[in-house]
Amino acid sequence: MDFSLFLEGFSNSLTLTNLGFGLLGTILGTLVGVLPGIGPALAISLLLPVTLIVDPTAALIMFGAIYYGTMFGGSTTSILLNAPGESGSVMTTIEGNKMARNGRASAALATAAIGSFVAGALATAVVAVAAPSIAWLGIRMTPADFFAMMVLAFGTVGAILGQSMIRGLLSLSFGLSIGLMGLDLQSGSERLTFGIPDAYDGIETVVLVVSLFALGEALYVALYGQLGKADKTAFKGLAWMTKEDFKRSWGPWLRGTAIGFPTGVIPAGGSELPTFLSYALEKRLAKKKHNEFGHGAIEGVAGPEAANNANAAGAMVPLLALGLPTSATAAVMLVAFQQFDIRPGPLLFTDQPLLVWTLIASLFIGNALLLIINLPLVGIWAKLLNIPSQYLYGGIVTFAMVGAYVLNNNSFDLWAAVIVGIIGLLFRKFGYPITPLILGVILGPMAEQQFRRALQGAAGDPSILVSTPFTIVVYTLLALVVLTPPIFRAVRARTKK
Amino acid sequence: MTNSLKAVAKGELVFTSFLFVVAAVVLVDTMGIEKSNAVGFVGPEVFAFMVGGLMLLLAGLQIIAVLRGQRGTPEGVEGGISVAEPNWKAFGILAVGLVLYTSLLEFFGFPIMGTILFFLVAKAIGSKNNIKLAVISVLVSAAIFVAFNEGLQLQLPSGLDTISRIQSPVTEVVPGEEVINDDGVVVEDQGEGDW
Repeated sequence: MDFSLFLEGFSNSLTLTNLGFGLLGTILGTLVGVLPGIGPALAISLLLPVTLIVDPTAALIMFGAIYYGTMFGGSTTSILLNAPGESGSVMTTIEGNKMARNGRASAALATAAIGSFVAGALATAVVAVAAPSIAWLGIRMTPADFFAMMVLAFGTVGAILGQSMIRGLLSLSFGLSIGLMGLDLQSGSERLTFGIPDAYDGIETVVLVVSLFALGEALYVALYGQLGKADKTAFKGLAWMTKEDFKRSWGPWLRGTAIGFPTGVIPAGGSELPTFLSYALEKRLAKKKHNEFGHGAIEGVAGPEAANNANAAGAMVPLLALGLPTSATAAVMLVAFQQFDIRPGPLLFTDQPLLVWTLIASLFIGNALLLIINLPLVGIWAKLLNIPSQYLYGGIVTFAMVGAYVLNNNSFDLWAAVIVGIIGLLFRKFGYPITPLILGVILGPMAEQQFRRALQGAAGDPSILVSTPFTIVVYTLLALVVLTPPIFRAVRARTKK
Repeated sequence: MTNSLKAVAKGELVFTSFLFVVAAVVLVDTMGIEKSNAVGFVGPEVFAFMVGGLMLLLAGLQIIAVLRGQRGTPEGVEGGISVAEPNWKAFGILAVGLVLYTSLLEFFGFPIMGTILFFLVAKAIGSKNNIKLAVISVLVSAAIFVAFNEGLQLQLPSGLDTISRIQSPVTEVVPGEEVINDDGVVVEDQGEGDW
């Protein structure tokens, strides 16, 4: 990595405007992270209208800070409210809420915040080192290689997420179908527009994300939810932990980071897998001494929280270096880039080095700011949990319907949002995962472009798709990911008999 | 209990069939695309066929799985529980809120429609105190309106042009409004269009 560029990025991110947007992002991120019902992907898409007025660097700094901030804020909800704000916080909830009930909320919040900081700082450092070399590789990748990478992302996300592989892949193909909508860029042919001029541009990604998450969730809660009196642990003061807690936390932090980062870089379906792995690992290791698992073990909070944050940072590598999002949140970040006509990918590092390095530097700064605003102020954030859920949903839906409108000032987008919201409701009801759908919509058109580019380069010969060693490795990997679990299950079933 | 479980599976069968129909629509739509004969040119239909075909296959397999008794587990509700018995009243209030907002936003403007939307959503989720909720709804939508129009400079419809239009009627034909013929007589009231 070029150190002078990094320093330049650092000084650029320290200007008053950029620092201000970073701070605003950390506050907004923590805020929406704490509020139940808003995950990082929804938070960023609700705030996407900001991209219409701010300059690219400031906006991306803000989104980076929001991205990290929601991860910090999410742990507060899991620990105090026993409600995971997003899938990556599920594991934190198990031990974290028990700690809170035993009067150890302060230590649980502290180990989550410091663990997130440690993981975020380490992982961002690795991003700074690794991303340029991966971008270097990316420049040498052929369209067939890119297509293979995207198929890998589709396959793993579709197969890993959700209750069954078919559900995940169906969700993905539904997303790919939505991605087809509109005028084909190369030929100008209409696809799935049904003759409606408003549909020529397809459905706006922002509209899709806010309606799937915000409207889908609100409709689902209205139809099938029963909101109980929240089982909340009161918390005041600041989060801190003792020397003993520190001693028990640093191991899980580092191990969590080590698990979380690589699973963020490769398309492994987001933060569910690494947080689960980290939790399982800490539980196994804790058997020797202080086995408090099941009664509020600090290791069970420290590990998964670090893994969650390292995972989020790891996702920045393929996003920046290859333009390939590996989670729903990263996919929405990509949309934020696209709003400015910035194409993340190999060329970004050579075309706009200052932008990239300022963004990476701001991730460091945002991470530090988050620690500062979280440890002493966590008591204030916890107060947000007192907002009655009906006002919360009222606000989320209203905000979503504003966001869906202002992009084009067009009621067509609102109708699309309502219909997609109902689809989001049905997905929740019948146990279909939403992330593959979003990845399908955003990555689908990019995958098609690479697919056609590859085939056109070879005069339509499909063997071009498996022509390089890279593609063969990737497809083998995909076969392993998709086929291993069923084979494993079959073998286990047989041995059980 | 068995009754409600059966109902869930039936609903899921309808949903899975819907996905099957979507896939079929993708394929039928793709067949309507004119193909180019240029050498090496990969037209817009190739990828679409792949997507539609994949989805059709998967939906078919899933229909079989559902018929054989497999069913999805509904997602949990944050800060509450998910119940099998649908609350159609709450859903209806929310749906009415969304449809009203969508069809009337440009006519009445955000300050009014935002208030109505917030009110109905909160009502659907379970607000009891109407007066308190009404006050909060007005405040929230006013705050969002000011924040977007003044803070972000993104103009949400204010509804003011509707008022001025009522004061000085114009003869242009706006979809969803009355159509006035040469004599100035209202010949047709289409109600709110867009449906």
